[in-house]
Amino acid sequence: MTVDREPSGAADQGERNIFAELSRGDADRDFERYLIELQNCMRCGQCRTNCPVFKGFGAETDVARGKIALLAHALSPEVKADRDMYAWLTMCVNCGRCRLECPSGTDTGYALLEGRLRLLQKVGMPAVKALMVRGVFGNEGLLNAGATALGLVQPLLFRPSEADPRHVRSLWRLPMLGQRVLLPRMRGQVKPGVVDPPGEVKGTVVVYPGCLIDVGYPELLSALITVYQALGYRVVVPRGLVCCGAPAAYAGDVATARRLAVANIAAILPHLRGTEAKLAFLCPSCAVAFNHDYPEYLFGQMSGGAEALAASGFAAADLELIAAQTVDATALAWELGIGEHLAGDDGPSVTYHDPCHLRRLMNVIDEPRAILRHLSGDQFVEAANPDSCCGFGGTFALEHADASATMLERRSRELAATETEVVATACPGCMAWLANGLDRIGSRQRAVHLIELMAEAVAGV
Amino acid sequence: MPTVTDQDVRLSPAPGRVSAAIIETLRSLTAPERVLHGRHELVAYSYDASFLTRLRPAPPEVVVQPLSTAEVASIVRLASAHGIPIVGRGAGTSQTGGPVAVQGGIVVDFARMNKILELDLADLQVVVEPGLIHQHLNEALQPHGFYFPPDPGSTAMCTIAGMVSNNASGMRAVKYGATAEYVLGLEVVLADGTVINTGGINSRSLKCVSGYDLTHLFVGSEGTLGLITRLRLKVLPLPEKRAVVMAAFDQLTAAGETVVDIFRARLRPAACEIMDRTACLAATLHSPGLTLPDGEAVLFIQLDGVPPAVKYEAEKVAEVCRRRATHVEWAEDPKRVAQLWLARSTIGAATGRVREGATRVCAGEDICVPIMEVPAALAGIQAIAAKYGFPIVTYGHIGDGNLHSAPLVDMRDPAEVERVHQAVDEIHRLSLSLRGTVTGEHGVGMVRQQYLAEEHGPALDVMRKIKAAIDPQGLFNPGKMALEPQEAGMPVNDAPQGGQQ
Repeated sequence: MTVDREPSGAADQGERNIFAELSRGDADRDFERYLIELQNCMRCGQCRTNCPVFKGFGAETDVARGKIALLAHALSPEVKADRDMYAWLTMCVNCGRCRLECPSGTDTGYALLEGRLRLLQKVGMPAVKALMVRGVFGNEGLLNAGATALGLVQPLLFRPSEADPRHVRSLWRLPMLGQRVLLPRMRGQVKPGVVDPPGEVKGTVVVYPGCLIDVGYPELLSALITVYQALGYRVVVPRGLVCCGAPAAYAGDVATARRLAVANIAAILPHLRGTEAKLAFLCPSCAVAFNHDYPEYLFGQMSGGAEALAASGFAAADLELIAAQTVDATALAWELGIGEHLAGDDGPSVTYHDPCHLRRLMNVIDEPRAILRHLSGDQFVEAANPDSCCGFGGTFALEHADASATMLERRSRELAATETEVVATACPGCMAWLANGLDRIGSRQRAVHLIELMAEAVAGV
Repeated sequence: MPTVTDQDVRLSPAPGRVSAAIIETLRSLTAPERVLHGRHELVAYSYDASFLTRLRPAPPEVVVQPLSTAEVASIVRLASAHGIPIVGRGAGTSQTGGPVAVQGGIVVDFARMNKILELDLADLQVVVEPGLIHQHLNEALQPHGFYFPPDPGSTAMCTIAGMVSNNASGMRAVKYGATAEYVLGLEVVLADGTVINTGGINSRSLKCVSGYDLTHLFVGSEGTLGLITRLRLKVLPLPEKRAVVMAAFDQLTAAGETVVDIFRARLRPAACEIMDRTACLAATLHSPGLTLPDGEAVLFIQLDGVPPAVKYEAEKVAEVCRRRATHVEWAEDPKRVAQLWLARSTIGAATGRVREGATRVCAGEDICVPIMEVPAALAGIQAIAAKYGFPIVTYGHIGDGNLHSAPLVDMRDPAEVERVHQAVDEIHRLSLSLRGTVTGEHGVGMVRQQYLAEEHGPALDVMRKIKAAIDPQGLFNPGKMALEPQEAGMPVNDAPQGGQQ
């Protein structure tokens, strides 16, 4: 094997202050904001502490400091951007740890998204990723058609998983992932509508199910309805919802992300305006898109954010309303007193996996544990390293399949070590990925969404 | 695969280059996935936390992540045979340019050699690999009631060998000393690939005076003499209790005199910290809920030990403080201790947020002066800040005279960047004029080379002779610590401060 050598390592190339060279002040405020954010990183290395990707591989390229240094380097007009650079920048699960822990307050989330956006304009998205981000997630019709088509061909290419009726196993190693994969059995899509509880209506939750639940795990929405009916709540699934836009935004494809966001906001706002209704999620990554990324990034700091907000016809207050009402469906149910309606203490032995976005960015840490203790009593076992990532990260799992698989295996082993019957989590992405991870290491544990255990316990009362 | 022969050895002082063949060899000596050489990957190894490497990042030609001493030795033998520079790297949290391959060559990244090999607590020691994170060591020791006392602010990410190579310390140095006091022995790979053990090959003793103290020759040598591959470290029992005294002063000199009074009263604080007015402002801006007494300086004094002694000492320290302070508080309840300590514990993070659109830069950040000169140094730094027109936030370990000043700079203004270089030079010279040193715990690296001749006189020649004896080809971390003879190597005087050699 030959090594492709590029000229490098000329070492000391003299002092170069790219920030002074490129600053254009008010002439280009979007660029100036980006420049200041890149300047703000003081290279202290704090982001090496908890980065889940870095933990797996120990390369400086994995952490925010390395990526911000690369983005600052790429500002130089003579540095040629390429797809390889884009690949380094997407070696990230967008979990937000580096942003929350940055001593200098650098918004690494904004810097990396804006960096990808700017890089994408130069080098374009790899075709396979573009197909996923724009074609599938970016287009509701195609997503649904794809899911239907996959549902039709699934029996030919996949066989039912023996342990787990809702998943099917691929007959071959899938090309991008390099191994056999468990996928949800396609069963048609979630329908919009309103479901009222049997008695008095005590309140309303507007639910955003998200793509994975929509095409792969519709039973999670059914479980949510069971739980909220027990609470006396009306459940509304608005018409016109599309992908939350997170895959596109994280890829730097801000145009697609904004188009999706606008459709979602238009679908949801009428249900929230002038009401007390909460906007509930079963996928914390979707929730973070709505309560943080829309107002802060897509229609905020990122290039063209102000113009995009003006063009959308929505006001900043509309985005704030959505952000303020956004909640995790399981935590809200606990707050509303679902405990009274759940059978206690005889649940399965269970451990819990914290989704990065739920734990870190929504600060929902105690509620899932309280629910599981209620359901299973002493049979709830905390796994080691509760702050670990499962390695899914949306398109990260496909783009950086080896890295993702390594992270998944590590996390699956930690969870399997509890020897519980069930691994509960509160994110359909983590759930699907952990189902694969546990299967690969030969664990018989069942990966479920917390809402399912809650629904089972409601039925058991 | 090319074989390395003696004929390949280059004695020329010009650094050798990393060819495609060298990279192939490195891949076969280690593993392909542990040899990083892509154009973009190398950018991530072109800096540390120093202001200098933010302005002039220097990518290596290749990065290798070894897993064992044998791998390190084979890498060094290869580099030595081809005259290629070798630079060891831990977490890159240094503020001196130390782990940056300023002359190209190979960076040996120890991130994956990060295991605790042995907790030999009966003998008060541990054996660890160089890339172990400091905090991970203390997390492993804590359940056993032990700890590794040196406590740099970067504990969550810095590596043990990085601490040893720079003889790092932290707040507890005033009572427990620097890292050097806890290094019992080192395994080091030398320039010809020989592996030596300092402090005795099989020794588990806690003291050793047999032969030259080679252990402490390597401690603080900043990777210029060899690569550390294994460390035998002394640990101590974890103190049972801590208390904190906070005292505010309306004059800087009163704060300095109080510290001396504390020692005169035969008290021995575990930490003795100062925040000047700029630092208090930064802390309150960062944490709006925080209330700090008004004054020119606030002292934070920590006591540790067995509970009755801690209470006694805290009361005594508070009594001493009351002689000159405008406000004194102390606490031994862990919750209240954490509250009192909050301002000090967030100051590192808080500094960066004082000036909108500006960034904290690490330059002139580590002077150390006699305790009684700390007030003069703080006043001098504020005068320098006023003269050059940007804020400098200063806090530090007044118990040993070590001050950390943080200039807040808008790099978009090239004239301001130029003024920073001048201000930093003045801070270093201020320290020397107060009979201090240019660095108390961070090291020299690239950024303070120009002061070594002035600070050490003919002793610098002895350092150069030691370097030449142990690393005759000058392979290990060239361009650092003013060790190269002046006619070769890095132009030491080229550093922007324009200091004298």
